[in-house]
Amino acid sequence: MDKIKVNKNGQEVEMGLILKFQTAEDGRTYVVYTDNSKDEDGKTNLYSYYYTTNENDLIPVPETEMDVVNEALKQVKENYSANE
Amino acid sequence: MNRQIKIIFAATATVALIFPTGCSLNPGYPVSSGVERKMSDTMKTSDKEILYVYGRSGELRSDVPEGLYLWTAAGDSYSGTGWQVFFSDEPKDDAYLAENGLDPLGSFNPGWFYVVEKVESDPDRSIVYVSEMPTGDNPNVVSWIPVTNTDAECYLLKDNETGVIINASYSEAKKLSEDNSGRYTNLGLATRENVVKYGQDVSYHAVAHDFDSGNCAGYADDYRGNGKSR
Repeated sequence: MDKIKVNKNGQEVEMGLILKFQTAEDGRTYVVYTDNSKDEDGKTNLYSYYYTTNENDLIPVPETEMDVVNEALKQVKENYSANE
Repeated sequence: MNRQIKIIFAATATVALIFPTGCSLNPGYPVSSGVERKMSDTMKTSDKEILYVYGRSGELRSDVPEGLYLWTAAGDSYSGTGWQVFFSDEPKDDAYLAENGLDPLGSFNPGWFYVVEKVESDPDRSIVYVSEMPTGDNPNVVSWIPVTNTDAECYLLKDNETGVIINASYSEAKKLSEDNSGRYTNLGLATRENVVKYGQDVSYHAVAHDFDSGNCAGYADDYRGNGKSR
């Protein structure tokens, strides 16, 4: 899904897909969406999920497992910088 | 920790744009629904809702259906003069394009597009919103725009001095922001919602692109004005 709607603090908000990746070790597919909102520090809010095995449901990535998403974002950034 | 990660899709321009200001990674909110594209609905309405985009070769496909033909005139898009997208009820050849100061489509791949929305009804030159034809395995993949093309996404920028909101490609947005510190506010991707939200002020450009994803298919200028793209 390149767009999803989420319930954000009681309001339905649309978010766009910016990243989709898969980890080799467990084959899990992750996705990162943004609604282009900013946090109090002016940073763009990103929201991460992973797919259930049947890819029907998106499950929010718990903060304790967020490092894999950070790694993927870092990889994209590095690839972009290398190609720019 | 180094994991093996296979990137399946990356909206490179978006990711690149947010890195300078940083990003805040959060667990997702509960998903209420996916958003269905409107292409299939449009497809059902009329065969004339299918357009063909000319390639640089200017070749016409023999299997072009009757209907409207979408074609573009490429300005110097990467220095900021943008793309113009027109449609006509008949094919136009390169001579016609040249007479009118237009060039065939540049780096975009020719292909079939659905008309998502028409803004003007002028049969000769009008503004249309297009979306990609789902000819591949995954209709939601914007296969006709290289994902590495950092100009593949449109942004709305507000000129804080004039109040005018403009539509800019990634490179334009970046350049304007760098050259005019503080003058422009990035209102985000030129999604349908954002254009509707700020639409009354979008006087600089109309936009012809995939509003569902924010990806640019080009710009559509209103030629009823002074006849110049910008």
